[in-house]
Amino acid sequence: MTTATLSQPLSYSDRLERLKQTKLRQTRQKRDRNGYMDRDDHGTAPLPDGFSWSPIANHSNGSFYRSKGWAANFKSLMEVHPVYVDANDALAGRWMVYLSSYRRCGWFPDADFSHLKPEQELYGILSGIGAQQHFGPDYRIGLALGWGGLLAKVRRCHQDHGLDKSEFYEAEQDVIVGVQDWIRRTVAAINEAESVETDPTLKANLHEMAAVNEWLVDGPPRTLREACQWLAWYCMVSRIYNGDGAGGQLDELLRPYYERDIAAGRIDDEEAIFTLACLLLNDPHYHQIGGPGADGRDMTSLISFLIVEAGRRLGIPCNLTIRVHDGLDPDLFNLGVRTLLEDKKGWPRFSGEKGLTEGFMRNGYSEALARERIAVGCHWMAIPGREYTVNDCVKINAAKVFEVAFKEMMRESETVVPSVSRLWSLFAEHLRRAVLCTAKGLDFHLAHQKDNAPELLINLLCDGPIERGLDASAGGVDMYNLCVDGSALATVADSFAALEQRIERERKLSWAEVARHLSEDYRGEGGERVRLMLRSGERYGQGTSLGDDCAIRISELFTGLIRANLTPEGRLMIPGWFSWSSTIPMGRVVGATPNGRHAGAPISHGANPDPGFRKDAAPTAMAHAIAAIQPGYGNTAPMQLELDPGLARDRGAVDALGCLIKTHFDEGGTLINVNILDADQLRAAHKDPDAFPDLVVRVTGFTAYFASLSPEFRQLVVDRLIEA
Amino acid sequence: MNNKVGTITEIQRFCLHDGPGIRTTVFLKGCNMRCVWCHNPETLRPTFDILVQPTKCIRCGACVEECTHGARKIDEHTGDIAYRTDYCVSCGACAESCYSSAIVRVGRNLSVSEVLLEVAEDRAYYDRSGGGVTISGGEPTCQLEFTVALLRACRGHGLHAALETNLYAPWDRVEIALREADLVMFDIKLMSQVRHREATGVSNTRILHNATRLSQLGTPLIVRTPVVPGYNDTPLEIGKIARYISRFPSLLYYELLPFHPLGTSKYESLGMPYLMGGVHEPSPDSMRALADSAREAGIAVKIAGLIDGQVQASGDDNDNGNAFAAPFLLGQT
Repeated sequence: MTTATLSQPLSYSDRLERLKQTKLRQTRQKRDRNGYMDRDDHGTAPLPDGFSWSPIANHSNGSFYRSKGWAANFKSLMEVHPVYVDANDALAGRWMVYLSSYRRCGWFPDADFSHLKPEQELYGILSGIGAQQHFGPDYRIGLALGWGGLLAKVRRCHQDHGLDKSEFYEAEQDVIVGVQDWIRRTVAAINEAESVETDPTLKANLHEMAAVNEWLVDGPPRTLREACQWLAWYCMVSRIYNGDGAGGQLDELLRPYYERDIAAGRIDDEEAIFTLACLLLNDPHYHQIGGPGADGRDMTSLISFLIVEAGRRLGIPCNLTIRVHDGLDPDLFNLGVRTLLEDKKGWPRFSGEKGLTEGFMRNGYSEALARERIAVGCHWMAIPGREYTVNDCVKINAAKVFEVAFKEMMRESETVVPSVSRLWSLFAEHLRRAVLCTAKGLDFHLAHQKDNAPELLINLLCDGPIERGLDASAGGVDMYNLCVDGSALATVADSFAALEQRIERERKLSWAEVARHLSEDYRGEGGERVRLMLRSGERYGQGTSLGDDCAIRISELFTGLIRANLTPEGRLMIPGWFSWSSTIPMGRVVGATPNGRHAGAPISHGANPDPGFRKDAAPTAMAHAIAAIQPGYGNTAPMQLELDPGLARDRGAVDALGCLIKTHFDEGGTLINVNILDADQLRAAHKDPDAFPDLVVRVTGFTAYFASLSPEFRQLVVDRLIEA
Repeated sequence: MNNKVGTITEIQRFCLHDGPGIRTTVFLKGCNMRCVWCHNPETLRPTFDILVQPTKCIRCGACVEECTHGARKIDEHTGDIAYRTDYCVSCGACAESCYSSAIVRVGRNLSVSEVLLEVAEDRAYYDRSGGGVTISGGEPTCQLEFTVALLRACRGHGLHAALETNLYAPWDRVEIALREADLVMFDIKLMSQVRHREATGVSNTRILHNATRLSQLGTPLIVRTPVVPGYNDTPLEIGKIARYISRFPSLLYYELLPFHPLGTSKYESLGMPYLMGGVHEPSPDSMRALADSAREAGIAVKIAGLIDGQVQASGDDNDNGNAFAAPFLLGQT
């Protein structure tokens, strides 16, 4: 119950402020209870004290697998998952717990991949075996059918396919029934809240909220509020099921509802903005706005602007992306840039449709199809509902590969004279092996993932799985374009460049000296000077430097190795450069490197040059360098820009930043993430995070409350932002 | 021609305050004026300078070994490296051996071709933003032949080329450079000859004369005044300058640059006395008042990159004090 304390009716702004404060309080509670979180916020609310649920095992190891196991557990969890109603909110519900976190063992133990593990460990490969979601649902399917329509579709397809696929279809039915049960229980809670609510505005809101949700148990959404509520339910249950955070083309998804409501006089723009803000508050999914439709025409509409406005009024972590193409509405682009500069919350981010579309077409797909492919996650490019990608889950740690090559070269140095050329050959050979091992891992994943962890929620919003009775990971969708990212580009490029410059060109160091200092982590006699010497050479990002040349060569090598072959089972792989927030763990397994990096220190971030790459730190130099290393097949190598808030005070800043973004995309860039943060404030917040509870930073593809990040990760963000 | 070599202090990309659009500014070394408020003292001398930052020293001793003039010595008691400025010939050998940035040589000799190669990197950004290259200093006309060659080379390669000069040179000497520029930016710091001499070491007679001659060439002009408390921060002084330049037909706008005490550490590192201790940045209100007085002359006025009229129209009381600000990309320096 909310007690009315104001004589004036509660405004949308009052309610939004209350919701925002509640979120801040919940974020603190989550951190105090669960510890720090080096990933995005996901919109969870804290579980109530005393909540308890136990999974139902269907394997001797105490865990659960296959469709039947997942469905039974999901349905069981949904029967007890707390309901959540806030009278201030336009939408009901919050999710609180991952089903996956209850699994005692991870990977399906009956499928053994120990034969791949030695090379996976040797090369620091994140194999993606067992990775869930990381592709995108087509929300249009769910919005058109509603839960009842989806259930009817599953039953109809079950009948068509007979009994041999019963386990799959029964599982899908159980999942839907579990969702409907949760919504029904929520409706009861809304009715109860309404009965005791005294504030007339909130009472009316609860009344409408109950009606909306009562309808949505079965029916497809008819209004903007119902559509937002439906999306929120799907996003919540998909998160609960396996953490899925994929977004969609939000403006186009919601435009018909908005336009109908406005035409009918049911809502005004203020109410639309409030409802949209509640959707963005519910969960920071990776939604898109603007950009080309299949016919190339820009999809910007009035609701695109309202979505941005909703996010601005909220002022919390947000993961909206504006899709930049030649035809993009300039007002939406300018609004996006101004939002970045004025709000300083690290959003929106921008995707470069030219590079992405042209790149994806190089795989043999049509332009219309390529235009449907959107950045539905951190850097997940996927065609919603039609393409399985495991984006962002498969990474080869190029620094680890480099280390293997360097050690091998030094081991053979009694018979073969070490050289950069020799090192390159060994690096290329080990990278080839790493790619092959990764490809085998992807095939293995696809052979067994349906038994390990089927995609029962995303299946519902795809073209194919329900119709065919096949999981999306096992032939349910038409396209399997598997993401393989390289990580540590700058670490390796700068290492090659430093060796060539200091040993071969300048002859200031010998191979043996460098090897000794690396083995001593630069802590032996003279080590620090050698480290600084290696670190201060011609680095990636300087422009026409040895490091730039090396980075291009490495990216070409990596891309070529991936594109030269399909997986052994004949599937396409698409290269990108991305480390996500894994720079710390990926760095932990790599010894000292010749770019002056200490053993165990984080590897370089994504496709970015390492901090300190140029004295003037010119973002144009960075943008140019990153554009030059794009693999160019439709996946991203994002640019992470860290800008000083001084820029935001400049009237020319919108034009300058806009020019930077567009020119990077003209040159082939694919995705831009921007932080605009005050260095002093960041230092202070690192020291006392609780004093800055609403400081939002862009970590990588996602934004997060700075106070929620671990001290180690906060340090990394600080190092990245402030003079290295 | 493109083999002409100049001494460069720095080439800085993504500059937003040195002319229109996104620009690369080439700072040449050497200046013929000595403004007491100069925030770039490392650009003053035509020869290389040595910047010393002892806190960055890792005591490796490499500089001592490299110095053949005895300017570097290890203190037997503390282990610190001592720097004998009186022995130093600024050859830069010590800086070459120093990788911790405790000793940095300021200045490098580059040919026009080499500079062109670097500035052309951002061509796409110039094209989209209406930007280009700005040749600044120091005082670029102190390296006149190089400056002219670089301006010609830039324009020859389709790059918008701006010249930022103090106009303190005989007209016959600098005219050639001024004619080669697509845009000329110059300072008028004070209208009083006497005060100008006190503040900069030279009279402003030649500058004002050249400004008038320059205005007759038709080259687009931006006139700037660094607003320095105690020297020229009065509506009277700024109004005088504004009236003087209001008769220049090709004036784009008049720009007021608020003083920033950012050069302090550089003076320390160069072992030079800093004469502006205790002087603070002018307040936003005082800058606005000065801009108002300048506007009375009927000219467009900016405060460090902002057109004042735009500021008022939007209700934004943005003060912006970035005229002397450092590059804004954090974490990369």
